Amino acid sequence: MFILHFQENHNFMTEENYNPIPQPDEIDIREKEDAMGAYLMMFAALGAGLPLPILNLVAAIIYYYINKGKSLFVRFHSLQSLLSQLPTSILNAIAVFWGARIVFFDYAFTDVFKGYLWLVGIANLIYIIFSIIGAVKARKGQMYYFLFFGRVSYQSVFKRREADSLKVVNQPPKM
Amino acid sequence: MNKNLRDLGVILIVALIIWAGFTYFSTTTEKQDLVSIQQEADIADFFNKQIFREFDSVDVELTDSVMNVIFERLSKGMDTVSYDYDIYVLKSDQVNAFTAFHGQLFVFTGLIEQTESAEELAAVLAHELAHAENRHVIKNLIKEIGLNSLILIISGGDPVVMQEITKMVVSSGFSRNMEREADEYAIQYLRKANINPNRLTQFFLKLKQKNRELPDGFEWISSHPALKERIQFVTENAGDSIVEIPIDLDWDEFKKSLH
Repeated sequence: MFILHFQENHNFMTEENYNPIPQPDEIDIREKEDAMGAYLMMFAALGAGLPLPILNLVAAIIYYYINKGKSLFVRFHSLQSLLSQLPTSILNAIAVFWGARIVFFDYAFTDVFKGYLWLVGIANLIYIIFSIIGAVKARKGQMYYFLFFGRVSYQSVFKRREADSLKVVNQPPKM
Repeated sequence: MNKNLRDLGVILIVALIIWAGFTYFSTTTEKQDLVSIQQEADIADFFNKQIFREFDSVDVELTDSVMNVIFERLSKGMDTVSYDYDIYVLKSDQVNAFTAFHGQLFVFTGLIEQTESAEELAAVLAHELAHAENRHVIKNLIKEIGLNSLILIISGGDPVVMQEITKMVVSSGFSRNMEREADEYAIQYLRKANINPNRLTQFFLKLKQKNRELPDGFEWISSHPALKERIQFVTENAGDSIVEIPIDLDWDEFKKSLH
């Protein structure tokens, strides 16, 4: 019980260090569309980058850096989309190289590879489903947290930085 | 932070379970056994008819005794004998031998012409027997055209499609892995049957002189592993030299009788 209390307190304390989460009515339409675009654009790139799945990672990183300077809401959704497509892209890349070895260099088509293809298929399916949900929620101005990636993105984007609290205060010239 | 690690762990474990589960329940290996021995025998009937329509065979009475002597010797080296093997000799200049279905082996007279001894032919047959024992032909066909279409075609017996399949089997386009496996088994068979496995190398070298191969560098693209690679493989894996017990046949006499 003690430990539980301590943890709750601890969590409560750390939330102080985060910027407030924007509510749907505080977000303008432009931001909502940018946030939605983060999801849609990334899996459009997933299709385009199919032969070499690393390509869409590059596209996603570029998109993230373009949107980084915009509001925290946009930045959160861009980062969540970028992070959540990392494992899928890596799985896809491995599948492509492994498959190429089998086709061109006549390695055995093993059950292990077959099982891996199932894993890749399921991972892509989950990724696409969650991206669509994420896009719809973002368009409505809502936060939506994926398992693991949601919390990591939130912690990374909303955390107050030292620099934030050092507000620049304009001063008159020295007389 | 702890929650992040926990969630990451959950994702990784679920992914591993999916991978392991689908690997365990994959049916690649079983699927190849879906063609029963009986079905394969039916396929063989159709196929043999097709073969004998396209090629003239040398009188079976003439070749049977010779082939039996060689097969008897080789069967001593085989761990399993899955079929009642029949070895036919076909009249053709092609330097070729192939395995068909249900233990039906075919050798062209062109290949026999190239051999200098019964042991050399035994080495070639050992390789073909290895293909048969490992059911490579049926595995290959299933891989190429699928199990359902295979059964459909065989039962329908469409002549045009049968011709295509015949072509495929005669040209024996096995994968590198299958050829390697067959060479591996052939070495075993030959050693146990007291025939020097290097007889196989000898014959490969002859083939190499005979037909000029794909230019170097294209080796990987061909479905047949280049001869050079196979010669190297067999030489490396032939093992210690063994005392060869000659096969008791008058080879030159047999070759003459084929004309």
